[in-house]
Amino acid sequence: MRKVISPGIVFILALTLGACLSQPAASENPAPAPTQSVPVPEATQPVQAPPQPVIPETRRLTLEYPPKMRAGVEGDIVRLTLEVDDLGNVTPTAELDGNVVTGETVEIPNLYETHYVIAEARLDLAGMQVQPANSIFEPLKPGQSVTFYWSIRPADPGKYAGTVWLHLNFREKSMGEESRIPVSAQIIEIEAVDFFGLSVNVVRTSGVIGSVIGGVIGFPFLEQILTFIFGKRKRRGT
Amino acid sequence: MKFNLRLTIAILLLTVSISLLVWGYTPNPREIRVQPVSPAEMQLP
Repeated sequence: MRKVISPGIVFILALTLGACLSQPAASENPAPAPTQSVPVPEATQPVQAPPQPVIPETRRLTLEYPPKMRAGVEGDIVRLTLEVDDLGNVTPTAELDGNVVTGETVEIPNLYETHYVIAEARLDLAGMQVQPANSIFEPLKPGQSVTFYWSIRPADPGKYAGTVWLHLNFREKSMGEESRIPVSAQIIEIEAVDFFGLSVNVVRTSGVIGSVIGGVIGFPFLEQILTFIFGKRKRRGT
Repeated sequence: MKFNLRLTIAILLLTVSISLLVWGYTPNPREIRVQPVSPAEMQLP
């Protein structure tokens, strides 16, 4: 006996199958249902202390020195300049979760209004004559540069290492309270050389004497050259 | 012969002497280091 599936059952099965295939994504990723809105508490901000007074300008420290110089009587200059950096515009910035937030001007007290600022510089260079040997003090004023000079003179050839120090001294205008901070300590190395054991003075004197003697010995040839030139002109004239 | 010897000595002396003068009077090389100093580095301690 053969069983035959009726067309009605086939139709119902096809409808059911089609309905199942048409919504697979919806069943896998259901749309997020609206949730109850809860008021988010505001982030508690830490109590900020009043900002400390600062120098309201970016500065540039320039150190100039001879890395190699002649030993002996000759001296040279080391110069340290603390100048105002015109391009150094500082904008207050903050970083929050990887996003940089820029803006919002912060009123920071000006240090020049509350304190006397004095720049102090010193050059420590062992084994070399340094003038002045002690610290140099220069008042630091808004928008103005300060420059320090040292005269150095190596007596003997060799390598000399030293440090250029820069400190800032603050003195409160009202109370007179003093404080001091280091700003920079730069290590420098200067090599003093001579000419095969001869000092600069000996080399210079030898150069002058040698040039004179060489000129005297070579002078007759100069005379011959001049005679040759003028003789040629005379011959052309006649 | 004497002429050539004199010329050689003169050229040699002048060459050495001028070299000594150049070494003796050449200005020393200068190294310049520039370092920015921000306001944060000039704050009160």
